Amino acid sequence: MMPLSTLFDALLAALLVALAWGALSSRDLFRSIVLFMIFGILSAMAWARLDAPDIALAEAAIGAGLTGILLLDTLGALGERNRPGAGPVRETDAFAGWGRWLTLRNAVLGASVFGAGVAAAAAASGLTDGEGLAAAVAESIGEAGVSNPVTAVLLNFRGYDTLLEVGVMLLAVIGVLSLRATAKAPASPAGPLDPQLSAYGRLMAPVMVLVAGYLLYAGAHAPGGAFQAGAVLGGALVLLGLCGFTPPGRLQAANRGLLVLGFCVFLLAAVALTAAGYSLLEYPAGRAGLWIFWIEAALGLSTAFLLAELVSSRVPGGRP
Amino acid sequence: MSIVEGLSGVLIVAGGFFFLAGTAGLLRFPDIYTRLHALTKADNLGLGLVVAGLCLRARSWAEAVTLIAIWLVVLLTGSTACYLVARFALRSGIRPWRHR
Repeated sequence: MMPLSTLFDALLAALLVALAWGALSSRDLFRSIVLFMIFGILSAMAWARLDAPDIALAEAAIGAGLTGILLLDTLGALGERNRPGAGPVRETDAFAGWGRWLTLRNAVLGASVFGAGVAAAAAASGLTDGEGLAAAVAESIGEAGVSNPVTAVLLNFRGYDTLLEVGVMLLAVIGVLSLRATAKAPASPAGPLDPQLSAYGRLMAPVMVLVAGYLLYAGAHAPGGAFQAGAVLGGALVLLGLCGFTPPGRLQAANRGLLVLGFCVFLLAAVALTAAGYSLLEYPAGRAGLWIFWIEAALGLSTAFLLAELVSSRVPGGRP
Repeated sequence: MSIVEGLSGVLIVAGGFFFLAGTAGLLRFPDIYTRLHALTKADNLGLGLVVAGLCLRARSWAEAVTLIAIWLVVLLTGSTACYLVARFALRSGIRPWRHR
């Protein structure tokens, strides 16, 4: 008889493909987004099953949570499908031009077959037993300054990769901000906050800040780190926005500074280390842990504000 | 099997029953309000019983407290989400179902 865990994994894999199919083939955009969010939660579970808790955390917070909110936010801005019972959204011209042979359904089917083929090829060639670079990382983890191999790779061994990624994220948000400057700012409706929603925000936001701080601290020796912490903190900011809380004026002014803080700190560290005669993002021996902690703290804070900045609307849900 | 393990098993199975009943209600009940009712029973009682069962098997106090904290967060989030969905439905003019 098949072991229970294999049965669970097979069910999970089948559900993932079914959800991806459903999300892409549904003609109702709201349904698509909800299926996509469920897909995110289940793929986080799949990463956890693959012993990759770092990716599972990021997928749950960003893939399922924030991306879902962004998509719903966009749908609300489109204003087409706000009312239940409204008709399905028409296919856009861009998709119609693809021709009949390359529909989204066929694309999903093709991708599934391709994925299954790659998995089969990997299994056949014994790639699944390979350790990749795990041995190389384990060998030099002693001088990395952190004991969590994922953080060691992200912030030390391949720090320049992360530096560029943070730069790309910052550029993307600057792009969004410059586009939004021409759009009309959403009018914030007056009136008292919804009691239940604001009570929920008041209770949960501090808990989320605590969790974010823990993830940042734990990243050095356990799953966690700047991006997971930033995603949770960003979620707290979005939650407060959805509950109808507006940041005080002083924070709004500091907002842009917080957006660039992480990238600037990272870049300054890289420049300072290079000027001091080290190679790019090579930390002074024995001090690596400290350098990584401060860079991560700045990155986490910036990630939170970058992600929260993307969610534009202070949805009027906070007002009864 | 000790008494604690047996009790834990009974609690987890009872929790599973509430999840099953909640899912059946979600699929079979006539309108959005009654479906929300069925769904929140699964969240509150189902998860609560499963957590109680798992607490009996926890290896440490910290583990049990973590489990209970998870349940409390789900309770808060579930009831708020249920309230928001119901409020939105009511404002959109969906009338609660009445038995004829």
